[in-house]
Amino acid sequence: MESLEPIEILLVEDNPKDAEMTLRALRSHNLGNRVFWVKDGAEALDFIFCRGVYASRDAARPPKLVLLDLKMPKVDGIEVLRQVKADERMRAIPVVVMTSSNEERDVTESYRLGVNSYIVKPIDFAAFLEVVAKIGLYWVLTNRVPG
Amino acid sequence: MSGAVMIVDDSLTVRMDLVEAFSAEGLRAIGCENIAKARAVLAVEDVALAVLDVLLPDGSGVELVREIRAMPGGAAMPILMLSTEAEVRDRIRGLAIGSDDYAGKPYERDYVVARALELLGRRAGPSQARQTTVLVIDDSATFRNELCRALEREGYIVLSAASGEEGLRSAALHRPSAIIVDGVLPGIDGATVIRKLRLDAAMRQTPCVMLTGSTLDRSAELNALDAGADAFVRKEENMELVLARLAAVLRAGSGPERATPSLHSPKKILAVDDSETYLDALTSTLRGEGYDVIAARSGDEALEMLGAQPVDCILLDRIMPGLDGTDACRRIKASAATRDIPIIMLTGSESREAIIEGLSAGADDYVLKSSEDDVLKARLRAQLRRRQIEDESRHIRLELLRKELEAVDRLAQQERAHKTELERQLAEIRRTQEALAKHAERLSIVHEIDRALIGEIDLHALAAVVLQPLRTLLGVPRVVVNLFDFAAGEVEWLAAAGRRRTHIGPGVRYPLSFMGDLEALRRGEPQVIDTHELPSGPEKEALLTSGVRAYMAVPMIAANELLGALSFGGEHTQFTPEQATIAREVATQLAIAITQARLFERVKRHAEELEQKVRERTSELEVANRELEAFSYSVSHDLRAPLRAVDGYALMLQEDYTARLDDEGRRLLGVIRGSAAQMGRLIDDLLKFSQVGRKPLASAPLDMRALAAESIGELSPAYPTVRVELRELPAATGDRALLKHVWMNLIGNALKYSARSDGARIEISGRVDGAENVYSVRDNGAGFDMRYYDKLFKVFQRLHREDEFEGTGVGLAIVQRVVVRHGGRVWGEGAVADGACFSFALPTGGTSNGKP
Repeated sequence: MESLEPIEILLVEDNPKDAEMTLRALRSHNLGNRVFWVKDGAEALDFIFCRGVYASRDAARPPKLVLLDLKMPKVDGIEVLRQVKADERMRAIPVVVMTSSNEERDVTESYRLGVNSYIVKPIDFAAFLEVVAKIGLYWVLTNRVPG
Repeated sequence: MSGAVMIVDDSLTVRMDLVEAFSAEGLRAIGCENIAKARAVLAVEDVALAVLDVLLPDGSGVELVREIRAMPGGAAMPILMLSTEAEVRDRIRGLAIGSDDYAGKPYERDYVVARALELLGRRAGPSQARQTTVLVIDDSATFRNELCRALEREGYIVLSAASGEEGLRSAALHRPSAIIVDGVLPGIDGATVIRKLRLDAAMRQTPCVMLTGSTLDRSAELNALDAGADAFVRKEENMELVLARLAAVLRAGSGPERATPSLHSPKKILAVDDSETYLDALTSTLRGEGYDVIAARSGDEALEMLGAQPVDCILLDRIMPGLDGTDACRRIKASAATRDIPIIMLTGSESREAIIEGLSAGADDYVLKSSEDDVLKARLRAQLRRRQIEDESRHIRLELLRKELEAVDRLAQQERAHKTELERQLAEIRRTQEALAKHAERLSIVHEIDRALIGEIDLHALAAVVLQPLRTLLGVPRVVVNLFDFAAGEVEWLAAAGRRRTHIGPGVRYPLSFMGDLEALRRGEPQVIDTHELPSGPEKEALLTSGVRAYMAVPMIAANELLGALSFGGEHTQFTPEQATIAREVATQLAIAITQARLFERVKRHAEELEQKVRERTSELEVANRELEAFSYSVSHDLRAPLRAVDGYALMLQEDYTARLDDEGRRLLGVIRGSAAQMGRLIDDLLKFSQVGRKPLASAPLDMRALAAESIGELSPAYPTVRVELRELPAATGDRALLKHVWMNLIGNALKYSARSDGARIEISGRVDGAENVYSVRDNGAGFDMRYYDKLFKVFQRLHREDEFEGTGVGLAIVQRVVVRHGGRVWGEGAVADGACFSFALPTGGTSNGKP
């Protein structure tokens, strides 16, 4: 999936089935080839801050959208969100939390840290597809990012 | 009267006449013709009274008087002199020697008898009832002793005083029958002594004889008479005269009778004139009128006569050599003893000056010597009558005065008694007040304990508050509160208060036997323990060193349990009932306090144990809660993810391979997706249900109608055939999100179960019912069977088959949980195929209940 095209959507998801369904949804709206998928929070942070295996990445070209799962091994979604929103340069990247959890504390904490949207993944796949497509289109195509 | 009357007269006529007269009165009379015969009679007979002629063939009657007075018992014998001697000298001689009265000759027989009887009756009284006491007041020891000896020889009881003051004290103390007082004394003089005696109601009747100096001092004499002396005697005269005067004043006796001689007795007239011719004529004229006339030839003689015997009227010549009539008149009127005797001045001239001079000197009337006899007689009768009336009125006045004085005395006595009673009552009030103060102090200490009982649960603090005031109240050097340790056979101090300090807390222990008989203590009897009788040891030494020679142990008993004893002791082995009472009161209170404190201690321990248990349970619960949360969390994540995959991959299969599947294949995929969707709803409802129980309530005022309308707006588009009516709803206070759930559930159910009915219709209404707001959702749908009402609000319990109405069986359970958490209640009514009505009620005051 390595591409010269700039990465527009970073998908942070440890569940491959959810990832496949998300990608399918994005693809169906022609956003599929601009998605980069990482499988945990640590990798997500390396990608965003151009560290580790992603050190060669151009930090000046951050992703246009981060789709972030919360419940992940190693570094969880909340931690990723905190670091992104705490960073002067990365703060502007829209982060949409997509999670199975409807837990109040997760919702509250996410908004406190500065999440741009909080989406509960529906069990109904059709509904899921619709949600993902809407978010992707909105944040990638409609939203203007400063700078 | 056993004694006889002796009549001594040389005239047989007189003897026979008087013997007959006395016999007629029932008296035995013995006649004697001379002194010798009289002596013989006196020697053998009991003579009660003697009537003596002055001139007797073998001597003078006066001599016989002297003899009789010297005889044993003779001093008190009444003697009546019969005499033609109108001469003052003779009379004075007779009276001075001791005769009681003179009856002039020619005598009047009835008068002699009446007078004799009078004398006899008077004699029968005081002199025989008690011995006569005489008080002698004189600063000269020589004269005093001489007089006292003479008086004692006469049979008087003699008291003596060297000064007026001493005399008055002695008189007040001993109440003598008569007083002889020297006129000149250091300090207060004799006249003042007599004046003071006369002012004293108790002694004003006491006869007083004044002794005057050797020189003839008229003014002193007048002063003495004026002060109220009954008689005066010159010191230079022999002692016999003094005794005679004394006898005379004593005979004159005391009592009001003295002032009012009988009306019927012949009046004594003292006629004073230097002209013998005139005097004789006057005397005979008046005797002819039945008066007893005493003739005096000068003013001095007249005064001397009056000093010895009172008279009823005085006829006084104005002009005489020596003391003339005017001066004599002044003297007589100046003396208290004689001033009441009417004086008729006899004057030779009609000169106005002479009359005025006489009257201004005090004369009551005047008569010209040249006047007819009748004029004098009339004037005399008038004066005598006046005197009589005056005497009577004076007597009445005196009587009144006496009564008044007695009343004053009685009043004073009553006042004194009253005052004494008042003082007694005052003393009693003071005693009561003191007792009251003491009692109040007692009460205050007991109250202090009560207060401490309520305020201070700590026993040591209680003891600290109570012991020192108690020690002060008991007035002892030491008070100890002892607790009994029966297991150890010991007593332990809870607290002790001494003079200097208070010991609080445990540490001091000694044998239980120090508290005396334990069985008696159990019965509530205080024990008194003599420190010396304790077994030897350091404790006994310590007690003795601190001055406790004995102590009382008062039991502290509460609920029939002997807890200990309140002991107090000191230097004395005796304790007052009051001390025991106070100690008992305090001991009772302390016993209650100790019980309370122990009870409180137990309750506190129990509470602590409970709290510990609660803490343990709470942490267990918290652990369980955390586990539940973790469970919910993983359910929401871990169950949903594979479910989503099931649905998602089934959809992908459907989308990508639908051409290769036949109808059956597509149906099977449909079932997979339907089951996944139902499981998703179950999981969602289950999570919701658990969240409703765990989430804290965010209470706020709510517009229930808006909330219901919002729910209808979300739900009804799926049920276009159902008509929904929303009526007015009372506002509520509660958690918006949770109550929205309630509406969503109830309205959702109503829509779902009525959608298939013809003319489906639901109605949402509300009302205020007392302290509740009641909200109802009514439909005309499938309804339910009331037989299964019990299952209606239970989780996973359904009254309809899944193929009839889809559902998870969690909705109404969530509704109930939310409503109950708001302090309300929920209920339903329904019938099969006849609709249902679900209602919930919330308290109007909002929810105060934040817990599940």
